[in-house]
Amino acid sequence: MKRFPLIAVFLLLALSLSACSGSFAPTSWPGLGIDPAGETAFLAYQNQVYAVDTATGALQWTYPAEADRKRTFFAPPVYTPNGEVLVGGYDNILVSLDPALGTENWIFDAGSRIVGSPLATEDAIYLPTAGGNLYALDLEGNPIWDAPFHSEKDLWAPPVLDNGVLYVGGMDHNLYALNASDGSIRWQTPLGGAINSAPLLHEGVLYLGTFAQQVVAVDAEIGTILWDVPTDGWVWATPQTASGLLYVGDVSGAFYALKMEDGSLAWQSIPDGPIVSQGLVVGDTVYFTTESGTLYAVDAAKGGPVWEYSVEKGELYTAPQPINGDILIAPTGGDALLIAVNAETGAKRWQFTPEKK
Amino acid sequence: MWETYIIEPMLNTLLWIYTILGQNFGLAIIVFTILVRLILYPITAKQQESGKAMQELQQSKEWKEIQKKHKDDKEKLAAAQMKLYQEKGVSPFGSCLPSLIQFPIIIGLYQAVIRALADTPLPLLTLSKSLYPIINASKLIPLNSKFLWMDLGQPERLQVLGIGIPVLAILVVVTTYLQTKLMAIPTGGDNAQAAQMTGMMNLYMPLMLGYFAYAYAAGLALYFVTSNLMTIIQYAAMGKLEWSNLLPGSK
Repeated sequence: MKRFPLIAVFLLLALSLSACSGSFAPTSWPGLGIDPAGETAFLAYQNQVYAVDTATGALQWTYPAEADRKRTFFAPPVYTPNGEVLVGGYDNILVSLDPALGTENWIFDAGSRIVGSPLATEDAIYLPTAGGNLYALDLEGNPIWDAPFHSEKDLWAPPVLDNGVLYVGGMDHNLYALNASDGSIRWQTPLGGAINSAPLLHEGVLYLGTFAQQVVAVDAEIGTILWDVPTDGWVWATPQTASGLLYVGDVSGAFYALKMEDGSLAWQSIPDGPIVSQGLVVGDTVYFTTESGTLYAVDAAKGGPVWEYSVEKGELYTAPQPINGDILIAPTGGDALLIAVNAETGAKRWQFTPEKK
Repeated sequence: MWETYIIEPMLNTLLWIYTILGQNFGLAIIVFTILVRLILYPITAKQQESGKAMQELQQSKEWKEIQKKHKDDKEKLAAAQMKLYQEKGVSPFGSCLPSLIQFPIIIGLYQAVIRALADTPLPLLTLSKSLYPIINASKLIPLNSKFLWMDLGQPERLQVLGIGIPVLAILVVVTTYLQTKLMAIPTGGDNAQAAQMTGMMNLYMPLMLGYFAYAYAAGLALYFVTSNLMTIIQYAAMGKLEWSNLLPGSK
């Protein structure tokens, strides 16, 4: 009995520290990818990847078939031009899956956590890792370059490829232009804040946001900054564009429409919470989500409200995806993992909720 | 409340120190710990006074008399002891309070360290909401988590010939043992229960903190080692260290 107080203190402290480390909580939000035909949504979340029929919300398969607690997936799955689905995991493994069955084609061990999606072209796969490496792989997962490109900090952002040049932003605050043939650096530009999303490449200009609370336009040829405008919070996602405007949100909870030529503000919207995911432009409407769990549809030209839809439970950090007249959203921390909302009306069409085991 | 009054101030203080110390998070933890120990110094001094008063009380004639008188009745003994505490103005918990204050600091510091070293999206998002505007930390993120051979966000191991040696955990055990031995106030010769309790504390505390240092982020272990050394230095400055406790045969 004399030892009880000491043991109690030990257990209390151990429990508190374990809870503090957040070892049981998800460390990211669902990653969502769609096949080119728009028939199947691939959702990576926690211990499984789900393939869901976009017409009905029915589950087609899961990978692995039984959830494996040692494996976690959050990076958005990518459908490759040669008809495979690539999924990166926190277990360092990039796996190629058969999109119809969810069976493995091949795997590549990247040696460190995969947070961001790979870029898949008809010839190669470019994979960023949290270890700061960018790998170039052939379509069977074999390295192409003699050595991966390496930056000092994590690479979470997918690269963008144009005319033999890869553009990738790093958590080391640099935007890099690399030769796709060998990974050598063409230029690098420090932007003053971590970059965790891909740049938008439009007519020779790279547009991106950083954690230094800014949106920047960079000349893709030589890497000089053309303009930068401050935001109220960190910018996590790739800007989207339509009709000469850039659409981007920040974690302070502001959504901006900026003029592409100089970054000046066209309009601004203040929704109900922080904005982490990228927006989506379909026709005359811009869709974006907030941490508070609301999907907003606003007029792309003026920013006026069209409709809004709120999830019953959970936050929205995942980028919305368009599919067959619907908008797909993937809540974090709710019961439903995927919800299809009618793009015209904002009415829910179906939701996918995985079986609890 | 915990978030607002414990974690965020600790986190932002750590980040502020990090910025002025050339973006070295290990040094930031060490300096932060020293600051905390200096702030807690009045309580530490009070603990020493309380311990001394308790020691004198337990060696007094009245104490020994009630031990003898109620040796077969624990309830009466406890009541008599409590009455004597009140008469002499001694708080039986006076020497425990500083130890209890340590727990929220340990937990808060651990949370602040883990949050500052966020390396996945959701924790990083949480970090972004915890920053004070004056820190301008968004330009510092992600932090440099490397200190000497350690990654402060991970359990520490020094690789020697392919074997991971938990150097910090060993240092935590050694410094905690030294601290408890050097600061232990000799108990009255006939107070076997107190001596047994002290002996248990001397054994279990180093092992308990050593386990935490072994299993949790190296930043926490760095706090333990710095805190132990600071405590020893503070007591040495007050001339209160009991070096004789290190001699073989001492309890």
